[in-house]
Formats: sequence, C-alpha cells, structure tokens
Amino acid sequence: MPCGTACFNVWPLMAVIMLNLVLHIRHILLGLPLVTLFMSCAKDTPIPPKFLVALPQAPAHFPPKHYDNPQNTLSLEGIELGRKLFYDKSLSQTGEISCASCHKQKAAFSDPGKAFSNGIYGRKGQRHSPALFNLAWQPRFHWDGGINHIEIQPIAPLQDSSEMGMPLINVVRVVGSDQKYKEAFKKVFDTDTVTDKWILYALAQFTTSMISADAKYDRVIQNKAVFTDSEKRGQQLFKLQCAGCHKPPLFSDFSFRNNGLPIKNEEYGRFIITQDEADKGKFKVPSLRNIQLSPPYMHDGRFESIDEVLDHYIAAQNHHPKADAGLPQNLKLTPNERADLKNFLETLTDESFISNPLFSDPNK
Amino acid sequence: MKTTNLFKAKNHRFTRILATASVALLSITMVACGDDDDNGNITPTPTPEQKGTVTLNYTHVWGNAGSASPELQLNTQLIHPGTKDTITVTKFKYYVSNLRFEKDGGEEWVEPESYRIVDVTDNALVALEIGNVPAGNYSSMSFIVGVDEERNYSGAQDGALSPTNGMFWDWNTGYIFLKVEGESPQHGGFQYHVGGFEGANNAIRTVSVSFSNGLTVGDNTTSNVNMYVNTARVWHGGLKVEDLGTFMMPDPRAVNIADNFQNAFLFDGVN
Repeated sequence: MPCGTACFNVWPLMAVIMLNLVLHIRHILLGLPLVTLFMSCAKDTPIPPKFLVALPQAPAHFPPKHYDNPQNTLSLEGIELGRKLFYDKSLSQTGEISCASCHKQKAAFSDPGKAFSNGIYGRKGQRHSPALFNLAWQPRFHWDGGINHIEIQPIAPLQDSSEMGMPLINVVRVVGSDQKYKEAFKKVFDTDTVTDKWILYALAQFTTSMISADAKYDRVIQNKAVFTDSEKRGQQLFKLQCAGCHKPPLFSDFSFRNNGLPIKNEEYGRFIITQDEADKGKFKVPSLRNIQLSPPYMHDGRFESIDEVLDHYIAAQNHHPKADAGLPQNLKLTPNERADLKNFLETLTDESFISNPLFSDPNK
Repeated sequence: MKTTNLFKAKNHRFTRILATASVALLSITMVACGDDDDNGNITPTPTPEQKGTVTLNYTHVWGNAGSASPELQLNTQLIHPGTKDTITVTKFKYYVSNLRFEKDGGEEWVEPESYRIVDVTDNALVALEIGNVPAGNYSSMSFIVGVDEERNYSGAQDGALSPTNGMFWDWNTGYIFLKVEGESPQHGGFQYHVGGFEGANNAIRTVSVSFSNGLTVGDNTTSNVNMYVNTARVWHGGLKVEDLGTFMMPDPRAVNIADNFQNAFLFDGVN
C-alpha cells in the first residue's frame, strides 16, 4: 500500500525507529527473532527490512508481565497510536492538559518538583503524580490501588475534574471525529468505529511498553558493568533495610503498607478503597527505579529529597504501632553509609529510558 | 454450530453424544466447504440448528401486587407502601447479565456475552431481546443483577460494559449494578450506587424465574417472558430514605439493597 495520508504515523515513526536503532542497538539485537516472527504475519504492508525494529523487550532478569491481553496484540503502530493519545491535549476539557502534562519523560514520567500537579483551570490534584514505567508488571494502580487493570486506569485522570475533566464519552467523540485517528485505529485494530475500548487498548499498548530496564543496576546484572565499591556497600545496606518492600528487580512488591507517615488532611490511602480499618494510612509501595529523577516523594510529595526520606525511616517516632512491621528497624546511617546507599539508588536511574524517542512527545 | 457448544449438559452421556454429533457435523461442514464443485453434485449441508428469540418484558411497578400495583413513574412523588416515605425517583437503572435458560432435564443454555442495561425512562416497560435461543421447552431461567466478578477485573470492554454508560466507577474499579437516584422531601436528594464484587460487600445477586407452565421456544419465533419489577422493594424491610443517605461505592447499605432488589422480580407469565 503506498504511504499516503492513510499512514500519518509511519514517517515520524521511521525517524524514531532509526534514532532508536542507534541508541538501543543492544535491545534491538535481542528482539530480532521476535521481529522476524512479527513480520512474517504481516500480509499486505511489508516494511522494508532496513526499518525493522523490535517491540520494547523486558530483560531476562524481569519476572513475567502481569498485563497480558491476547486481544490487544502489541504492535509498533499500536504503541505509536497510544503515544499520540498520551501527548494529546485535546483529550482534556480545556484542550490544555494531556497525560504528559503531569507525566514528563525527563522525570521518568512524573511531575518534577510538584507535590500536586495542576490540571485544568490550574486545579490541583490530591496526590503526587507517580512516575510511570514497568506498568505491565503492576497489578493495581494509583496510590490507593483503586484501579485493578491498566487498560481502565486512564479513565480516572481523563474524567477527574481536577485533572483532565473530560467525560470518557467526550474523549471518544474527539478522537472518533479526527480523520487521522480514525485511519490509525483502522490500521491498528481494523475497526471502523473508534470506541472507548480501542482508545484504552491503544493507551495500554503505549503505557505497557514503557519499560525501564537499562539502568546501571541492570547492566551489572547482565555483566556489562560493575558496581563501584561504594555502590556495592550501598546494595548490601539496601538488601538488608529496604528490599523487603522495594523488591528487586522491579524495586516494589506492589503491596500496600503504612510506612509510618503521620496522616495529613484525612488522607487514609488504601482504606478509602477497602473501608478496612487495618488499611488506614496504607499506600502502594512505589518502585525505586529512577528515584533520583522523580522527586518529591511519598503519595503527597511531602519530602523533597532522598535524604528527607532516609531521615523519615531513621526517626523513631515513625515506627508507631500502625506502621508496617517490615520497616527498617533501628536504622542508623553513618555519613558514609548514607552516601553508599544513595550511590546504589543512583544506579537505578535509567538514562536511556528518559531519552528513548519511542516515548517522547510526537508533536516535537 | 457455534451455539451447540454452549449447551452445558449436567449429564455426561449427553455431553459425549453432543461431542460425537459435533464432530460428525464438523466433518460434514468441512466437506461442504470444499471449493471444487465442478461436477454439479449437490453439496451436503448441515441441518441448521433451530433458534428463536425470547423477549424479557420487565414492567416496573411501585408495589408488590404485580398488575395491581401502579407503574413506576419517574419524577413523580410516590408514597412508599411500607415506610410511607415520600419518594421521587429520578433514575432507575440496572444490569441484567449472565442469562441462562434451563430445560426440564437440567440441560442449560447459557447466553454468551450476556450483558444488558435496563434503564427505566418514561416507559415503565423495558423489553430485552434475547436472540439465538435454541428451540425447545424450558422450565426456568436465571440472570444476575449486576456484573459477574470476572468482568469487574477485565479491563476495557465495550457494549453494555463500556464505562461510557455511566455504570462504572473510574476511581475504584467496578461496575455499578443498580443505580437509584431521587429525592425525598424529608431527606433531600439521594443516590444509591449499588456495586461491589468482593468479600462482605459483594452485591452480585442471582434472580431465578420458574416458568410455571414452561416456556416454548420455536424456530424463528419470538416468545415473551413477562415480569413485574417492584421498584419500591429497594426500601424493603423498613429502610427509610434518611437511613440510607447516599453511597457510591461498595458498602453494607448496597448489600442490603441488593438483597432487597433480588426479590423484586415477580413472574407474570409467558406468551
């Protein structure tokens, strides 16, 4: 099929792919067998071999993904369509806010420096915008775990009056009346009608492809890099004090725990969902990958630095009866130990993730 | 062919016969699909399964006396027969899912993708059309008011299960099984959003209907199942509007209403 208006995505995608080839050659090599498989099924539009690119792949040291919907087969065009939607401000009531407004790639898709992000009309949300990566491994979403499936997660921020403020039905109208979107949905899902299900499928293709697995930590596991002595000592401390909840390799066990924070503004976390008294003050354990890129910290962004977070875990008053038994016990850190631990945490920063053009703003 | 497999026989021998028949039928179909028919031979075709339509007629009334109770009128002050509360209902909407029709011998037909929303508007009668029901004599049917647990965990869905139908919680995943909204002069506005599929707050309820004289589904015919739905049943057991307040998440009050509403369906007859 000649590439006319019907494939508005393809040329920018090709450019991205070429860039990506250069930047991520090792991922691509890993993924080549899969690409061959993928390609062999394409009937009518063979892509010239020079443009071959792999779907984002998880490394061997990751567990199996939680997200697996055989009806939503991942494709590069599907990911690209999801990316368009993720960066599309017209999906908000005022046309000013996109998903990316509060989930910025440079900050591992969190909102740097903001405890609470601004939605439409400058309204502020009530919880800190979380970093987004490795979402295909998460069983539940939001700080309180209220959402049980990645595909339906976007409905909440789309509709929330202090975020994008757009009823889902209006999102369907906006997307469904755009000719380029219609053509893209036809191409990806072979559908003539754009419904909320297809929009959510496309977004899930993008969000579940946002794999961050190329930090120094990962390269050490893959024997492509070595830790410094300080990082090694930091890793030992981490294993002892933190890894129970921030479980490698995803650096979260995705459980809900009370980490001892004093409750502010009647923010009860998991309790709001379960109405179980025992869940008061529990929040989802966040991954510590890319932690240096995504301050401030905690569900309400109350800590601006990793030092403040460490001070919180050291302070005795935060080990109250309601706090989780798995919190670090009698944690004391000498200045050297603190530096070691922070050096280790720095090895969780994935520069290639935040510069990967597959995830960047397609409008730039 | 497709719906043949949807019969879930409780009897194993029947399953085996059905399986054998299916294989035989499949073989015939495969022959029938052969493209070479140059000799002018008549290609054997399988006997198509006989199927009919069942229309479920839900007439929404205010009271437990079936046809003797007045029809539910939205946006109109009504006196609750039990509590004597003055209630104006502005919205009455619920899911009817997982329809099953059972024959005398226990053989069941389970409708695939069985999800519908009953939305009472100015017309108190809501008719749901169930197509592709295998012909035969049925003794009972059942459905759930709500959405089964699995589909509350299944991500993005369309049709009746699309979140755009206003029967879905976006912040606390789950479908709203029954939405009753309105006002009462004593209390003001109320919104009961009944849902919940887990643990003690599970509000999924099954309604079973026995056809006293059976239901016959013929080939290409439409049969009617007529029911009265007592909407006042929501406040059954002395539940006052002021006791209930407003709730929009799984809640013991939702469980209470789900229990009440399960018994709101009164079978009237078939024709």
